[in-house]
Amino acid sequence: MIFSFINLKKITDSYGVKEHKRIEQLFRHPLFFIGLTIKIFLIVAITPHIHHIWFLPFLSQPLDGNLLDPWTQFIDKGGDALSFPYGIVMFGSYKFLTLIGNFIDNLISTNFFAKFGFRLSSLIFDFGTLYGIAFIAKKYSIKILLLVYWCSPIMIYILYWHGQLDILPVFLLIICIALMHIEKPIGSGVFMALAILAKSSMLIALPFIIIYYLRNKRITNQISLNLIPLGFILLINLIFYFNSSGFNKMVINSPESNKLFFLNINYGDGLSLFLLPTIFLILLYLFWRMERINLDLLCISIGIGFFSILILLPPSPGWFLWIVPFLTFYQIKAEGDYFFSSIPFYCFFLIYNFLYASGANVNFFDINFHDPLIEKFYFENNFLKSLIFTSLQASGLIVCLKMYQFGIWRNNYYSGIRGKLSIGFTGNQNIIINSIINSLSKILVNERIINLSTENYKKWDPKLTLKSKLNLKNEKVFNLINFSKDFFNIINKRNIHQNSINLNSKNNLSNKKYLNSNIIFLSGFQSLDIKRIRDRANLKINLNILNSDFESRSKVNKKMRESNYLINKKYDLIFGLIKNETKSNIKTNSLNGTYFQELFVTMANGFFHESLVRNLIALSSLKVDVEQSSNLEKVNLTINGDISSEDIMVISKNMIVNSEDLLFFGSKWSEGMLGIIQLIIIIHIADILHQRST
Amino acid sequence: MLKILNKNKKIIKPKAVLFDTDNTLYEYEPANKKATKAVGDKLNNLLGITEQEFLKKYIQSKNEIKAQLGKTASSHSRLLYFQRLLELLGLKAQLLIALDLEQTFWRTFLDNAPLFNGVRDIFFELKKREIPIGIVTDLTSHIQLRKLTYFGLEDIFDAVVTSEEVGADKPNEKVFKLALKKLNLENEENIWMVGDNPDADIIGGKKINAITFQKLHKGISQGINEQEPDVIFDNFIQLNHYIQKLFKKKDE
Ligand SMILES: [Mg+2]
Repeated sequence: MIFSFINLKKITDSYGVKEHKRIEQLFRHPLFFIGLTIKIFLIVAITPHIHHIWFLPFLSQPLDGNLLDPWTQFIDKGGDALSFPYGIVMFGSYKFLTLIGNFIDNLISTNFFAKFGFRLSSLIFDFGTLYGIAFIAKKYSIKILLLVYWCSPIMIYILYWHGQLDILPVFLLIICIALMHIEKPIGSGVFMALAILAKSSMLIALPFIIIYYLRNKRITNQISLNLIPLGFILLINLIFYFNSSGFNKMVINSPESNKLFFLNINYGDGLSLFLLPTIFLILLYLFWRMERINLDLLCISIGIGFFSILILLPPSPGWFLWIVPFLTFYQIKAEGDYFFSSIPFYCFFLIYNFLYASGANVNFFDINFHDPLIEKFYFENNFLKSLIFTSLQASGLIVCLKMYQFGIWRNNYYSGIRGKLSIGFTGNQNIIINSIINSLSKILVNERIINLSTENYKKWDPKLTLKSKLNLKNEKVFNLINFSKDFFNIINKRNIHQNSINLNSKNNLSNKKYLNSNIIFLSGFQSLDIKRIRDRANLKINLNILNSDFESRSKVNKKMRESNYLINKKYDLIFGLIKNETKSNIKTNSLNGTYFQELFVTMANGFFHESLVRNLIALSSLKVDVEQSSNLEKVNLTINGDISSEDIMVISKNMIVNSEDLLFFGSKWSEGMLGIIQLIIIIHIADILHQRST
Repeated sequence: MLKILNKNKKIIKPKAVLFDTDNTLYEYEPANKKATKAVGDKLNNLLGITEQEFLKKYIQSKNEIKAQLGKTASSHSRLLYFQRLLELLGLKAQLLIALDLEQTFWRTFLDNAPLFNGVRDIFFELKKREIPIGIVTDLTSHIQLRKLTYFGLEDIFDAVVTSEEVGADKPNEKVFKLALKKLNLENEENIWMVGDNPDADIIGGKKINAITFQKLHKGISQGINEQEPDVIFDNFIQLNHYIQKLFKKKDE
């Protein structure tokens, strides 16, 4: 029913064989079968007490009257108002198998299959959530995923013993995130709406998802496609149930929704500060302020958002279920002792709930454990209860802080460098260099890249181009003093000389854009002539366009690789591009990689050239010649052949760790030699950004 | 699972081990499926050809090329398939597109062909024991060498023989003979041959009296009668254990 309009096959097709293999292995792992066996045993053998007193009476009421408003009908017939504080999606999804079970029960006069169908629904959503987590996480340890999610005692307790239904809204939320990730904004919005209609607390995740859209420029333009269906569905729902007395009583005014403003600081005179909204807003702000928000961070942050509710409100047992999938993301992404730090939390959760929450009945036998265990003892006292509760909340808070800590660490994966990253990029053809810088800012969409070029600091009237060409090598042509001042002003986040920037009409960036940048390119002739600038630049690149005739090539080759000029400036990366004679007219505005037939690269030895060469040769069948410099410090690559932008995209994914933090699937790489230049520069940038400060 | 079927043969420490590549070191079908689909998508984008039409004509072109060339390396050439495909689609001599499709195919293929678990460890184990390792594979050298390079195995092997090199596909014994010649082990009997295909690898291996190992997984049927391998296994980790045990026995 609700799943039919998304084409699952198409979605899984966008996955590679490696991901499929992992999913296959996941469902063949012994732990998967152990968890499954326990769960099947429990749904056959156990009926949770709350199913018995609340959900089943509500779900199995005969549907006469208004099919879409079971709440009013239930209240009118004198049902318990606490029975079903959930929306229509929860009702519909659980009703389906319960109805089939009912039918079987009537057919063979039993009293089992309706209950069984109801509990089986939970298992299906549970399984779906496992699949969803695996789908989103992509790379994970199968064992940890199964241990912390599928075999989690919290999950098993809440779903199959205590009997809460919160798995459905969480499952829908996971689908929403997965669809958003693979750029299906409409489906994602629909599933967000369904999640909220199953349980309104899923609204907590919505602001995080909106921020994710806003902060990821790749998908920002899809946000309306997400929010319009979402808003539309919610609105229809609102209009429909506005007048439903039963819905108002059971869902809107449920005891849970009244807890929202429970915890507050009393300022006297009837004035209180509500803690939850305050903390929640702070959380959102912290999330918004993160440098790079990737999918892992989104999931972890939603988990922290749910956690804040648990810690600040008197929680119901089912609420803990919201966080488990998100806690799982954190546990499978963070390697190390994180698994163990959550064990106290698990233990206190189980102790607290076994003691104070309702249990279950054993089917077929007249055995019941439905009363909270504490009633079996004679020492019930509030101090003990508070003590265990405090331990539970405190251990939860610790997990929460650990998640936050990891989130910050992961966020900093590409923020190893302090302050702004500056890259000097010089060569003999500024048009091409500028166009490469421009193309890099389109690939690194979430970085704030600016190009500070000496061309904007000419001393003469820019219109006199002929004269300028003659004076190119004259140091006095550029106002290098201002250039240098502005560079350091940007680095130190001080205002820059407005005048100098405004000189260039094409690059009319605001002062603010310069100050907010995080990657500064220094380009143009003489841009690295000042030692102070040179010393500050994190990466120095030189690129020369060479003619294809052999003599000049070898000349420049020699010059490129051995001249004192280059060595003195200590370029980290030297490119030489040979023009393709058959396509000699380089159009300035549409730079095409195929204009160049050959590329020389000089770069550090022992960095990544081996894997680059392997990829270029094996994946794209380019010809690559590798030669080490005499002192083994540098390697020289000579690359020629054709390479498509798709090839480069695949190689970039192979070569850049956590590339999804920095680039996106849809990144538009150039083809040919320019694409390889983009790739090599971006690998360098990724490396500098990732030099972890330990 | 690892099972010895031929109890008559005494399996001892080998003088060399020959491996097939496709569908032995990695699973062929999923990669092939992804790659074929990527080509179909590209044709759809470039020329508006539907998936059904593409698949129909692709199979046809494949059959035609295979019939034309018989059991040779170039009968597997994707470039020839795509060139013929474009002709069948009424687009003569679209050379650039044919080359582009070929590259799209192999790029997607390689990106979706992870080595089986344990393959690398077996090679390291054999290297450690100084047992020479050879590759005997059908298809053209260029793509096979690209594959082995992409797997990061380019300096593992002591001999690589493709069917292009000898002019005939497996099970032609020339392929195996040349491999042994390259290893300087002509007329050596104690050779292992590891492969997936009962005809090409098992029959072929028997032609040089090798001990034959068939790698089984989804879609592979175990060889019977004259195609019956000496050993079957479905997991390289277990094969590795088996080898280690064999060597331990020897050491004692
Ligand atoms: Mg094979």
